[in-house]
Amino acid sequence: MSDPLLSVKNLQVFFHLAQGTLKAIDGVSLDVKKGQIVGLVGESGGGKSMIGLSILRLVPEGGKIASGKIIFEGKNLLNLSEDEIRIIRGSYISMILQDPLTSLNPAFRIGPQMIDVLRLHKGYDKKEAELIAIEMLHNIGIPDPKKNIRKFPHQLSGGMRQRVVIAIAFSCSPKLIIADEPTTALDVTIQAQILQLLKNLSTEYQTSVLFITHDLGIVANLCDSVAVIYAGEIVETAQTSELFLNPKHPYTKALFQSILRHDKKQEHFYSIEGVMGSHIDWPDKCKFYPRCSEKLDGCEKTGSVEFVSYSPDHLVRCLKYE
Amino acid sequence: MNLKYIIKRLLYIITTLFGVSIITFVILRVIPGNPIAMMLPPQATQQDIIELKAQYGLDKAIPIQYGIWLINVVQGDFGVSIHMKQDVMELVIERLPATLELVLAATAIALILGIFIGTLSIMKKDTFLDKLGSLMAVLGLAIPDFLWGLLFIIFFGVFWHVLPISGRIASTDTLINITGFFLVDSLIKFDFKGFYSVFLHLILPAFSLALPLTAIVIRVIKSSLLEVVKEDYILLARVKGLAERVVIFIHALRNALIPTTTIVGVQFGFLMGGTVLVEIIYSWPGLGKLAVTAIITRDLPLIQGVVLVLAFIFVIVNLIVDLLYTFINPKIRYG
Repeated sequence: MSDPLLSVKNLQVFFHLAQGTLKAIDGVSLDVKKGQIVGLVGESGGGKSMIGLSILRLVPEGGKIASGKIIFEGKNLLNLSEDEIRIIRGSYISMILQDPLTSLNPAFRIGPQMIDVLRLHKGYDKKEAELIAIEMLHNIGIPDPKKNIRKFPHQLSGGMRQRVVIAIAFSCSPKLIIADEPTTALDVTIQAQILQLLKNLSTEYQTSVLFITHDLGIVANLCDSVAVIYAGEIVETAQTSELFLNPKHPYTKALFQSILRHDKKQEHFYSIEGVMGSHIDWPDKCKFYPRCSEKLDGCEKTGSVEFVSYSPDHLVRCLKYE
Repeated sequence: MNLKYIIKRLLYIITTLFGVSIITFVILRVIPGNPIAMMLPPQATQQDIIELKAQYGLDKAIPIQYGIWLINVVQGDFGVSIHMKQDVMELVIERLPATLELVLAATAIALILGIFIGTLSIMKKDTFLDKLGSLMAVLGLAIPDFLWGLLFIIFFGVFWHVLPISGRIASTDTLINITGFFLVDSLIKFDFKGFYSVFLHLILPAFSLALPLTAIVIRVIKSSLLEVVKEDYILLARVKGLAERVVIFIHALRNALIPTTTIVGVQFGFLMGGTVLVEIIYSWPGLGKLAVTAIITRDLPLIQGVVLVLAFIFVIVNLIVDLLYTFINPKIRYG
């Protein structure tokens, strides 16, 4: 089997705060193969977005990539110089941010915001870049692109703006796109359109996608494989169908139980008890056990839990399966 | 922007000027001291005083005096200076370019320095440059413009003799007055020697006036940039692979300029006021110096004229700032 396009190995991102060290990402390993759509699922605050930002080496101020490797096309991105990583950003690896209402610069028209990335990475002149941008807008279903490219972001609807953001992400035909909850801020009706667009584009451009979301429904429809993340640690990874049929980790099971079902009338809405809380200075042991409904006597005492291979391609990090 | 909006703004301007003129007019006539007392010798009789008052129309009730003044002003007649015996508007127009040249130069310096230092200290956070910027932001405000003026005179004029400290141009140079803006006049005539002399004369007064405003601009730029860089669109600009200087100087700065424009617009009025002291320190033949002379001699028509012109400039600058908004912030459209 060929090497994966992106391989994150044992990544650690730490925030050194006044209260102690927060391990925002704690030993995450993750593979994205060529042409694959990989889902990254978990609660808010679990470190999903942080993984995306770390891959581009854009960890917010205060955070530091403490250790690990991010191998992209055979190169460790963490070893690149600032100038080299800038060439990767936008042209080889691109990112779609969560909120289309805030991810476009309000002071510039759509055109320049699409053109700058094309000029920077592809070396087009202004005229060529604009033609390509217009074609791009046309492809992603923006009506009258020649007119809309001259508009300011606030003159477009949320769905249109997310299309523009997606167009920017795809414009240099990157190998990998990190989509950070790209539909969370949108209406349900628009969500489906945007997801379809994303799927079509990734097929058309043969782009791999790391799809960050908290919505298992989207994962089921879109992703080839899934990684479930809790408090900065991946707790389970598997092919999508395998994970949906056979969830193993208590957290994954709990996530499935939290989904609202139309075919079952529920008296109570299921939720995972407790809150994730902060894990500042958390010792090396399972982070989920305080909320776990299946915890064993050993959970509190045992140190860090390693991945167990439940079946080929299905890894789970839980004492139960050791 | 449409015609209706512009007409509305012009009406505001007229109302403002009307209000300013009434307040100045009344205050000048109720405060102690009057031009008549300044003009007559101590042994003048009561009869002399009454006659002179009648000559300048000061014997009538204040509302009637104002009415007469207003009717004349509407016809373009601002009266004659009591002290200098010259037409008020002529005097003001003659001095106005000197002040405007000084204020515009100071504004330009403050904007360029302030934006550059403020932005750079965000880019090079916690470095020496950042500290230097913070120091300038404190010193610039803590030391008022006239004190900067005195310090500059002592150092650059007295100790080191590197820059001229008085007037607009060396006494050996002469300039043909065309626009009154000496920098422009010398360029029109290709008089580069004159230009150089005018330029040197402008440096110290312009910097004295500019430094406090520079400090304000540094602060505003820094605080608005700190907000802007947290925005998603700045993250997206970085995701696109743009160089940090492009991200900050183009994508972030454009948004940070919106609050800066507001502040500079308001400060422009204070700058006009600041010229009074700076012009006196540097013997700058502008409106500020004229205003001081007029006040000392209780030259009522001249004070009235100077104040009205200053107020006019202030409201016009505010109108320009409001119009600038539509360029900087596309979300604003006046209707």
